[in-house]
Amino acid sequence: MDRTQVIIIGGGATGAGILWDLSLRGIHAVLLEKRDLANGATGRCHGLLHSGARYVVKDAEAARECLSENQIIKTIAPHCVHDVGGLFVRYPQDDPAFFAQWDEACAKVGMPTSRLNATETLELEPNLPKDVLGASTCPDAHIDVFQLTLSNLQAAVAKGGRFRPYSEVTSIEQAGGRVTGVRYKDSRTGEEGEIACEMIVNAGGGWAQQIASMAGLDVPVRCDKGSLLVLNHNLVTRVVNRCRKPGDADILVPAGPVCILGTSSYTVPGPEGLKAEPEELAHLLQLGSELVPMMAEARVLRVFSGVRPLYVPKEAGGSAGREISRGFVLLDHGERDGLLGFVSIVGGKLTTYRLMAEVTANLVAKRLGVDEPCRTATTPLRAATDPALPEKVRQLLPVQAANIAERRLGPDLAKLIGLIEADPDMAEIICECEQVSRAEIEMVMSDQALVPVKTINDVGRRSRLGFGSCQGTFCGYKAMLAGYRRGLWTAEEAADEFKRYLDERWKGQAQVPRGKQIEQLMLSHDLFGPTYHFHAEQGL
Amino acid sequence: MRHSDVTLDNCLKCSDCNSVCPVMTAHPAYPGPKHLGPELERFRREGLPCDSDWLEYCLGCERCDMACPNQVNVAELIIEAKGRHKKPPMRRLRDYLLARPGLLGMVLSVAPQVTDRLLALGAMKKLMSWTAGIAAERSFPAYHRESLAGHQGHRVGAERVMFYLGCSMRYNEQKLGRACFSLLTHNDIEAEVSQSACCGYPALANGDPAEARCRVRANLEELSAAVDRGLPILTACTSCGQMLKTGFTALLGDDPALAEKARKVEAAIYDLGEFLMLRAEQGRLNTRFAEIRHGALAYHSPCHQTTQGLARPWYHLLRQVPGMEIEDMNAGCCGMAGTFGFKQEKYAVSMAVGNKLFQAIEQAAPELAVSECPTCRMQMTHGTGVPSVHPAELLLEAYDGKDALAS
Amino acid sequence: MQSLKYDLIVVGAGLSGLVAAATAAEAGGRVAVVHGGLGTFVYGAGCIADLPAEGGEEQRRAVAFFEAMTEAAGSPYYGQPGDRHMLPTILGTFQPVSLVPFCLWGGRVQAGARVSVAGIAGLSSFDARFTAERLNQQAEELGLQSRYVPRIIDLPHEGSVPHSTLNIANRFDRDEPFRRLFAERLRAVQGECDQILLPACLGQQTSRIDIEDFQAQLGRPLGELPTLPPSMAGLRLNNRLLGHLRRRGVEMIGGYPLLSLDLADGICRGVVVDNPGRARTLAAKSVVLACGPQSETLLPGWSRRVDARQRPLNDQNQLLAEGIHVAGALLFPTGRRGGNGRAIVSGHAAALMAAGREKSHAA
Repeated sequence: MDRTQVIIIGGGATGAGILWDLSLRGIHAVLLEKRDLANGATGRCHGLLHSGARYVVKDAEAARECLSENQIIKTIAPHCVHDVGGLFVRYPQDDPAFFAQWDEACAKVGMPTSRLNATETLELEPNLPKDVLGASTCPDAHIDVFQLTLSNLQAAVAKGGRFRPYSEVTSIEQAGGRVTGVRYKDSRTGEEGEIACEMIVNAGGGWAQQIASMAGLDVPVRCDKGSLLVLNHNLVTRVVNRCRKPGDADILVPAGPVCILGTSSYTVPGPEGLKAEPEELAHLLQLGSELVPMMAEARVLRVFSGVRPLYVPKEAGGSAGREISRGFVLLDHGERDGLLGFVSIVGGKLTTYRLMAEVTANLVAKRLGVDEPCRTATTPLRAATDPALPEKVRQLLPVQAANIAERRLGPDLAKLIGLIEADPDMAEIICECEQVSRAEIEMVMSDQALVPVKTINDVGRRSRLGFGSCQGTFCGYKAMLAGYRRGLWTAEEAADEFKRYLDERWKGQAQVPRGKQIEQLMLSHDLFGPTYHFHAEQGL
Repeated sequence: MRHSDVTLDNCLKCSDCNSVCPVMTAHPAYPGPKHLGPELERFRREGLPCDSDWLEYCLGCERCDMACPNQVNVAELIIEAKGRHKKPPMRRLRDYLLARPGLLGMVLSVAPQVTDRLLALGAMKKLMSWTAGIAAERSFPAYHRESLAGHQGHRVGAERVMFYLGCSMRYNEQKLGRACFSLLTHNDIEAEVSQSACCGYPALANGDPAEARCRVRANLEELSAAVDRGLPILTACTSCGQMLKTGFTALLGDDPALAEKARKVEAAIYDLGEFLMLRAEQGRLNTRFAEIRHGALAYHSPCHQTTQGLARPWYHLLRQVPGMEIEDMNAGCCGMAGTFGFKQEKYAVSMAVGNKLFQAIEQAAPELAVSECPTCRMQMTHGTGVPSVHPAELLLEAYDGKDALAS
Repeated sequence: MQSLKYDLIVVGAGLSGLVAAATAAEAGGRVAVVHGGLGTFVYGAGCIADLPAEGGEEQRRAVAFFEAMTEAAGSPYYGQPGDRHMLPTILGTFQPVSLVPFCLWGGRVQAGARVSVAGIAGLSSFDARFTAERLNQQAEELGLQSRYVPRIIDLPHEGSVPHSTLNIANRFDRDEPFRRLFAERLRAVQGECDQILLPACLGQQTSRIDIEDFQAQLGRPLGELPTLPPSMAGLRLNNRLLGHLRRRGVEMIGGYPLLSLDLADGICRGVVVDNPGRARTLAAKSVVLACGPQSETLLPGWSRRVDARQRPLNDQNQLLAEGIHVAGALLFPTGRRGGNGRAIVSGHAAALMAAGREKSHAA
């Protein structure tokens, strides 16, 4: 019987962070995730590493927390962060009283900002409307949410932690008022298993309530849906926030070669089956073009929706989504509900994932009698890269592909170089839109990969394959072949997997309301439908 | 160029551009227009360092633009990237000079009897190849110290045009210039010779947009004044024509004070063949052609004629002349691409691209090769030994009944 | 001096437009094809699968014309409307096709055949083992009696450039020793196989003769498998057709979209093209619009319906203007791509109607 000390349920940033924190303290843990890493809120947000400036006026505490974690994450995971900086832009149609409040509040929490006049603002960001009044800088950044989650997992696995994706917990076993283990099933094959443990951490985010109910407990989580748009190229080079009371579509984040606009706020019954409504999208685009006029002509690649899991104890009543504190809550069900060994971490935001993991791991360590402090704030997630490696890679790959690979792979560049030197064909760029090399795909699919892959989209999350303009139309096929060649799938499994991949890529594009992506999608449908008789679009 | 250019968003990654790119076809290591244009542009907009020496290998033929079914400004994206491309000092210096054929022309036409001979010396070519990276295989065109201004027409009451010379006609091919003016005279049109200097295209092609902007700014006033006087502006060089029809708005269009003038000038530019063809369609072309007997003539349509949307006007005009046996080689880009073929390190690629055209010409075994672009003419002769002429000279022959090659 | 005005301007360089242009050129007219970019050839191979066996007189004429045209262009088609030739695809499926491009013909399913699926080592866009395995699985499901065996060959690289179907095709076009080496290596691995499948890479300028020469060195029929774009089989067809049109005197005026039709007093007199500098008006006696489903803005007031002569009608079912005929995907608003047959039939018919109008005007 498989056993461990701690089972963590939920493979988002928080769960991954907890796995890392526990592994650093020498505590054995297994993370079970029913899909792949970052399937929930982590993988469905702006990818904004908050400076906290968004919260200064309403919630100084949350702002301070963000600022502190922002600086920590830039130190421990610089390879996941595009430190592009942020602007809070003062638009003429917004409330000038708020500008003053914001300035004051920033000063109070010690937010490092500097004021720019209109000319300076437009010089930095020429695509802003010509009538902007000015802006203030702040230490916002873009964080690659998949790399962040992946890095935590890889670091944890290297230290003895275990990560099982596609493993859905089906029951939580308990006896004598304490948890004893879980049963789970492989969400792709149906194969079942069980693991015995001393403690269980519920880091399920939007699913936290469902997971807790498996243990007969009530953890009230409200699912607040936000939809976001991915735009084909960067309209701005810094994070652009609207300097006003937080509302819809007032953040635009440059996220690699794309940029992400969001978001909205609607209460939904649960974390799945999310769909962006046409009016919602029209609204987002309308607001987006107030932010940056070019948005009106910009190509939308994809629409996705995610859920903010908001902890709403009965006392909070019927408050609106944004009003409920974005702070997090750690529930010790031993004390609260009489079920020993079961802990839930709920609420919070991506930027504070490490802190959430810290407080959770502190409690778990205490309960297990492990006297190790948290070290995640000062331990880099990855070793530094030998400076000779990027130089070498630039001789083997085109310069921008080399830069991207360097940022993503760091010390693993050595493996990439080895693969290319052994076989020059490995230098071929497979995903042209995102400049991902064949060597990198091989590494991601390798048996030696600390965090293995099961699907083409898993490859995408680890390398951005299929995340660009063509949304996997051309590279998805090549990735499938690569997986087949590695023995990841039989021919039949590969074909089925590719169909699922196409469905998933199509779904996000099908919601795009207008523009060139619709043609890209039709092209994809036509290629794989009438032309290759491979896969017809399902009724959407 | 416009930072707001969103045509990169139109790219569906179909690779039509790659399929027609003459460099990619002849030289597979070249990453291709799709990559150097819209693909890299997304990363350039992200602020990633995306410079590549391969940018220098783009010929500027714009076949990618012509082929793109989605109106992506592939060639313009590459030109813009060229403008930010960093070169090592030797290439930078050489390209600085090649970007300024007007300057070169002024200097080399001071004492052409001396400089022409010097440039033709084997030892000099080797030296230039070694120091300046000029391909030793190439010959510089002959320079002449002759001003065409004296050939302006003054007939009162005649229809007038402004004739824009371009550097090749101004410093090397004055004879062609005189032929063009005679053609116009045969049609009761008087040509005023424009003072405007280099059109600026070689500067753009060599990654010097500041110089291009300088050129275009310098030429704007004179040409604009000519337009205000009701003069159309003619040119016999297809690359000058392409630049004159697009460069003013592309480089000055963001300046509200100049945008109007820029558009006005561009709208008044005509390729000489285009102009004569329009007259023909209106029934106003002098069609009193003598029959002329040349051997077979091999015609090559320059890339920048296609980019102007012209339907081979000279080719069709020449076919109207009795006895003219002319065949369109239709064999792709010649590979010279203006200053490109002069570059040592680019020479092999230039010749590889033009190989198909050379073979087609050799198969046609013509007496003359014919093309509207001066560097296409250079390349065809260089690659096959067949002498080449501008179609205007042949048409003039038809009017005069004289042999075009006699001076 | 002979008239320089065009008898017909075809807008659009897809299959429908090129067929219309060839039809008009054959009838002796002065024709231009005006297009904003190449057609959809880069996506496929030009297979025709949407023509019924008894398609009527119009279809019969169009197909006969198309077969003659493609034969003359050096890229013939085989098969008849209503046929169901099963063509294997790179995804391991079978595509039923009626009129098959010559380069795919050798790969159609033959009962009892042992087929080698030839792969090229290092080519990331094709895996012979995957395709062979899937074809076997599919063949069994569909009850097709053919067996597929993967065979991989090595091809030399130019420098350290990884293989792609585009650069192999380009090399095939210009490098005769390479072609011979390619054929030699392919032949060497065939064993007992009596048919060969190969990802489409045998040139983008090649003709039937070139491919037959290559095939002759293999000693057995060869069929190409069209790949994901850029599809060499489609590009080859495009290049051959363009060459054919050029030889017939058709003027290709490309790269710029239409701004509008030149319409006045209910008559179309030509087209207005968005050229550098200034818009250019090209005059013609008739215009065939074959520029794809996104171009209805060129016909303001169009109801999407046409009369029996493929002329556009307004909402009151009146003729929108004289001198315009609609063809291709623009004519079939809800149709998806995969309508190559309709493209050919409507393109051929539109050009014939346009010529007919000219006659009635002259009379």
